[in-house]
Amino acid sequence: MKTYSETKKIKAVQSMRPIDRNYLNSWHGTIEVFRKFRHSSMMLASSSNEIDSYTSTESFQTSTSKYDRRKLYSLFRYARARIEEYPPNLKYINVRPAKKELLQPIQTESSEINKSLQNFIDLVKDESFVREIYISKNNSILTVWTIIEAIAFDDTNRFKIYDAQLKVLQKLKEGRVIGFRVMNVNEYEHCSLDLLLPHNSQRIFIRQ
Amino acid sequence: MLNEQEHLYKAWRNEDFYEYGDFAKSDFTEWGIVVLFYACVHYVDTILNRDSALPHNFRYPSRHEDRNTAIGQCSSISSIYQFYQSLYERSIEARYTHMSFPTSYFVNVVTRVYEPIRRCCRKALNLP
Repeated sequence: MKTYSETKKIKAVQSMRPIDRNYLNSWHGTIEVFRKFRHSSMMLASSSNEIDSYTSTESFQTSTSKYDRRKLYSLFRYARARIEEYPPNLKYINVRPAKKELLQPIQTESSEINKSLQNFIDLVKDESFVREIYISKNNSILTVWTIIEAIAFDDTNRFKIYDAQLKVLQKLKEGRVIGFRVMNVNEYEHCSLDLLLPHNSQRIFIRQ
Repeated sequence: MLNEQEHLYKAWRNEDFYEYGDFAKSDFTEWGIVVLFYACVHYVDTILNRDSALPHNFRYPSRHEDRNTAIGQCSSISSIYQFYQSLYERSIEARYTHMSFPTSYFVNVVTRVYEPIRRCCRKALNLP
């Protein structure tokens, strides 16, 4: 007789089967598949061979193009790696791995923006609830994403970040703009932060 | 681009809708936050439009990032930056994520975030 957790595993794997090719090719499709996989991979994390064997099945291989399969498989592998990498209490933080060089000053930005970024990091890095800081660029606007781990829906710590943001903004030259966002991991327990961060985000700070 | 009166009219419309929706007693607290945020957007835009010391992209902001930065640099409302940024982020989360806000949190947002913004803006605009 199958245990409850085994039944859940099987259901999770089965839920990945009906992959419509057109849907998969769309961004939403990719996200959905990734979400499904993330959910299931947490249950399957201890038996990663199951994922390997599933992705090599005929139904998987024939239901998607070679490109899609590669993309999906890399997502699968990535999700699993993240889960194994992080301690249990952080397993929902599915953050994109940053290359070492990204932690250096961002060469593409002006020295003024770099200085502002460094200033912001200096202001918040000693706050123990600050876990990571990312930057992204969209329509020429640089956005700084501060990932915090604090009590859900208690804004006390958020406001400390806003104080730091204000100090940075007040030193910007006339007309210059920086966007800021704060995300509390404890408010996103059922949704990967990786899906909320922009695709082109780069990590510029991580708490060691 | 709206003029001053139109911005204020939109702010009041949003406030009316907030009262009408009685969001604190409903299951749609996230939409309550969105409505309050857009009421604040129009109050803030009215004040920024008046401030001739600001550069053009701050006086007439077309993007949220411009507006948020402008608030930080506008002497009459820089004190509400933290509150406004909080409401801005919560409204994004309300619209684009699965997040729904507990009623107690929503009430907190109304009294500790929205009310200070409203008070400060109305004072800056010489409104009762």
